[in-house]
Formats: sequence, C-alpha cells, structure tokens
Amino acid sequence: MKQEKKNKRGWWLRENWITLIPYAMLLVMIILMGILNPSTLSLRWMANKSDAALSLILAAIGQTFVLLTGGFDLSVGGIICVTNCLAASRMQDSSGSMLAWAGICLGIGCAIGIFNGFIIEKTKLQPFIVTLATQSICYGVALLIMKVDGGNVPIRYINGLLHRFGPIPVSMLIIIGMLVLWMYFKQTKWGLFIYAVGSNEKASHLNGISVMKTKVLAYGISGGFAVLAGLFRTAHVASGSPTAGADFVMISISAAVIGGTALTGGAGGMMGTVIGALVLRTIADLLVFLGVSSYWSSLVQGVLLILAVAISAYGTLLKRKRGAVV
Amino acid sequence: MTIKRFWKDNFSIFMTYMVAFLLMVFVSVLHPGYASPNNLRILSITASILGITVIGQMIVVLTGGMDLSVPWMFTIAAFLTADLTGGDNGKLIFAVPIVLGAGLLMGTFNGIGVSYVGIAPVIMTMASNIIFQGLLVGLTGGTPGGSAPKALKSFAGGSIGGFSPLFLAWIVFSVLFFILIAKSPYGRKLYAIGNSNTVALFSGINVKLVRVSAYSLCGMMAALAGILFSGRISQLYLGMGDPYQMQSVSAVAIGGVSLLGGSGSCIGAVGGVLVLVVLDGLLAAFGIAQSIQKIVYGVVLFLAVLLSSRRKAGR
Repeated sequence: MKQEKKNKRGWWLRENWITLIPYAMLLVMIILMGILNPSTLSLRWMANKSDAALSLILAAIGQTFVLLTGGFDLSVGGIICVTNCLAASRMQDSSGSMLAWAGICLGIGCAIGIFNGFIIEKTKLQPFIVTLATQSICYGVALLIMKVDGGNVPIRYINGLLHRFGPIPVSMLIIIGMLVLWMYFKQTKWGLFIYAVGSNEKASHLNGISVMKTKVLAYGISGGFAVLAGLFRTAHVASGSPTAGADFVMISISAAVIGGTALTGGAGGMMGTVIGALVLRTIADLLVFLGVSSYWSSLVQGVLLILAVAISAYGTLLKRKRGAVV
Repeated sequence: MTIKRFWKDNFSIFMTYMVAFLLMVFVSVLHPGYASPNNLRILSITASILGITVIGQMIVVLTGGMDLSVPWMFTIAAFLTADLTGGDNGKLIFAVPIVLGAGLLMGTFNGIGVSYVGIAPVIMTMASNIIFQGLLVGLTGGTPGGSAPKALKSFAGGSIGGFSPLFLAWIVFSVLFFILIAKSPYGRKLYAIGNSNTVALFSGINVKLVRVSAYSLCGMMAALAGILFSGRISQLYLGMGDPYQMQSVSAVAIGGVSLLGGSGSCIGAVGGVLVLVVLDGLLAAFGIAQSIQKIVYGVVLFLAVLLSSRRKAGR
C-alpha cells in the first residue's frame, strides 16, 4: 500500500515536472537573493514586489487566455496605452468619476478585444497581423488623448490601489482573487472550451463548440485584463504616457511562456503565468545583488526565456518518446 | 497557362501593387511635390533598407516561421561595421564580410533554437532579440558610438544613373532571391517545409537544416541592411533597428505571403514594401500628426492584408 502510494507520487512528478520549472526558477532566485542580501526578504519587499509586478501579471493573464486558444495578442500594449492616458488625463478626484472612467476603459478594452477575436475568426487572418493593426490604431488613439507624458492622477486613486492592509497590499489580494476566479473559471464550460479550441480547433468545432464565441471571449478577456493592467499602472507610476504599453507586449507573452503556456495553444494556465511574471520582475533585483550591470538584464531575460522553453520542449519530447499523447 | 489562370494565381500580388499604385496616385494628385524626382529618390532609399530586411524575413516566413530578432541583428551589424573600420575606408573590405558572417551566425543561432531545439519561432526570435540587445548594450557599457566610414556614406548618398545605389542593390538582391526562391531546388524545399513539415520530411528533405539556413539567410540580410543603413545616418544610435521588426513582418504579410508558410512570392513582398513606404511618405507629406499616422497605418495594414489574402481564405 505504502509502496503503491510512493510510486504514484513518483509518477506524478515524472509526468508533471515540466510544469514545476517556473516555480523552481522563482524559488532559486528568491533563495539566491536571500543568501546575497538577507534583509531584502521581508514582507515589505514582497509587498513592493507585488505592486511592481501586478501590471505585468494582469497583462500576462489576459495574454494567457488568448495563447490558450492558440492565438496571439499584440494589442495588449495598445490597450494599456489608451487606458493609461484616459485614466491619467480624465479622472477627477471623486469616487464616481474614478469608477466611471474605469468602467469606460474596461468597456473600450473589451470592445477592442472582441473586435480582434471576431475579425480573426471571421477572416481567418493571422492573429499576429490583426492584433498588430489594432495595436497600431490604439497607439494612435493614445497619442490623440495625450501628446506627451504627464497627466494628473487623483491622489485618492493612487492611495486606494496602493493601500496596505497591515503588510498585505491590495495588489496581492488582487492576485489571489484572480487565481481563485481562475480555479472556478477552469471548471466552467467556457474554461473547457478555451482549452479545447486551443488543442484542436477542428475537433472542437465538430463537437459543437462555437469556435467564434470562444475566441471572442478569449480576446475580450485579454482586452479587459489589459485595461486592468493599464489602470493599475496609472496608480503605480502616478502618471500617464502614450507609449507606456509598448514594453508590455513582448514581456507579457514571455511571462506566459515561461509559466508554461504553449504558443500552440491548449496547454498552460494562469498560475504559471503569475509565477512567470514574478520571475521576470525579480531578475533585475537579483542582478543588482549579484553586482551585474543592469545593461545585461535583457540578455539574462532572453536566456531565461529560451532555457524555460527549451526545457519544456525537451520534456515534451521525452513524453512523446514514451508514447504519451501530447 | 491562360491569362485567366495567371490572373487567379497572382491575384494577391496584383492587389498589392494596385494598393501601392493607388496610394501613389492619390498623393501625387493631392500633393504635387510628392512625385518629384527628389522625393522619389528619398522614398526609394527608405524602401531599399526595409526591402533588404524583408527579403530575409520572407524566406523565414515561407518556412512557416517568423523572425522578430531583425532589429538587433540590424543594429549590431551597424555598430560592428563602425567599430571594425573605425571610420577607415580601407578596412571596409574585410569588415563587411565579417559583419555579414556575424549576421549569419546570429541567424543560425535562431535557426538552431527553432529547428533543433524545437522552440516556437516567435518565442525564440523574441528571446534572441533581447539577447542580442543585451549583448550589444552590455559589451559597450550602454554607450556604443562611432559612425560609418566615408566610403559607405558616399555609397549610400551617391547616385548611379539617377538611381540611388541602395535602390539598385535592393533590386539586385530581390532578383537574386527571386531566382533562388522561385526557380531553384532550394526554393522548392522552403515552400515544401512551409506547406507541410511532415510531407517535406518524407520527401527526403533535410527539414532541420533547410530551416536553419532560412534563419541564417535572414540574419545575413538583416546585417546587410544594417551595414547599408549605417551609411545613411551621421551618428549611429541604439534602437535604430526597432522599426524594422514589425514593418518587415507587415510588408511580408501585405505582399500576400502567408504567415502560415508555404505560399507567397518575392515579387509580392517587394509590393508590400512599396505599400508601406508610400504610405509612410504620404503621411509625412501631408504633415499628419503622429497619432493619426499610427491609426491610418493600422487600418491600411489590416485592409491590405485582407485584400491580398482574400483568395487564400476563400479556397
């Protein structure tokens, strides 16, 4: 009996070690930092880190939904720009105005996402090109709203989103909330559909899943999360910039991919994405503690990305060799 | 082959040139100075640099991949040229092959990652793009400098029979690669891989090697464009290659080359470059604000791709 249980655990590890890579990466990085500079590993550091990483986490979560359907969303960056500019230039210092503008932004973002999904499924054009076009349009709109960096973000808005309940920041609660929602969403019909469409579009269609609705949903969610990322960035940076989102495009995809979401669709999830985003946001700190010039940080990011993907590609290969259907 | 069949087969290419031509006519009518020899010359130079990166990009796209690392291969090539020559014309003779070799090497790095390790092309080249960026910025401490030797500058700014030498170089390379892609066995292999990896493998094509070679060629072309571009500007700067990342992919897609691989032609890609460059010049000629420029760019990109790939979707 005991032996059997042990075997079972070994089997689980053998089958799923790939998904543990991002966690191991983050753990190693945190341990390294703890050794190099023990004073950093405090609750305060964690709170600051979660504030700093939340925009990326939100954008990457949205991206994950699209990647799961086998798509690609470059418009995330554009939507973040538009949101950031709108929030920084239009919000007044009253709860009503803040909520209204947040709602308006959310509406715009979801609409752009839905448009993306609809066009991609309707015209069968490559997601890369369609979202590149919407990205460019969004950048233009952001520039129309705000010509230069700046803007005026209400203090109460900033304080509200960066508030700490004791040592726990709002951002951490948001992350936990998202993960709980994800646990629920994954069990629902639509959660299943998203994975199914990503795994095999044709088979999903033949099984009566509406590919159109699923894709529209995924891109719509991505747009919505991009808005959330933009809203939080506005509070965190306390200003608006028409080019704020450009940095988020590639790094949101990187975060999802490091977290184990496959570009081919149908594999991965939000948990890994959150970890992937944290890994990417911790690298810079780690390099500082290691005494490496920050000029090298993009190199390290690139190498980590390749390593993470190469290991998972190797793992998939091993599985396939053993005859598993991957 | 009847004319009807020919028309049907090359519909997307005609469409691309039509869009470029109509844009051109549209601006020339509204803005008489646009079609002046001088402006055309400037446009042709812009088109040449982009066009050379697009040739490489297209080869990769034909195999069903994508190369997002063009910008920093481009930038590294430009800085390496300046560094190796130190502004000395004589050293150009050995510097250019070295830089092209470096481009080839960087491309091969991409190719190995995609082909032998099995990383998705977008991820691999995105990662290598920031790796190259980190290499250049890290090695030079964030402040690389220098400028291209005089000979390169006079080449880029000169004139042969009224045409810019860069433009002629673009034409020559386009023709060379047109022959390579459309008429040679190597070209057939590229299409075969893009259409179906498995079928290509069973047909006895060394799929992995051919795929690597596509990325290598792309790296070399990006490096070549970088060398030529360094002659165009007085002072090199970081990030000078950045526009070419999305533009090269857009041009390829506008030119009717399927991003899924296996279909499209060099002539179409050239048309895609023309559309982008004419559009860029149009927006500049009218003095349109950057914001509107980006919106128009997005809309035209979408419509052009829709037009040029309509046939394929319908089939």
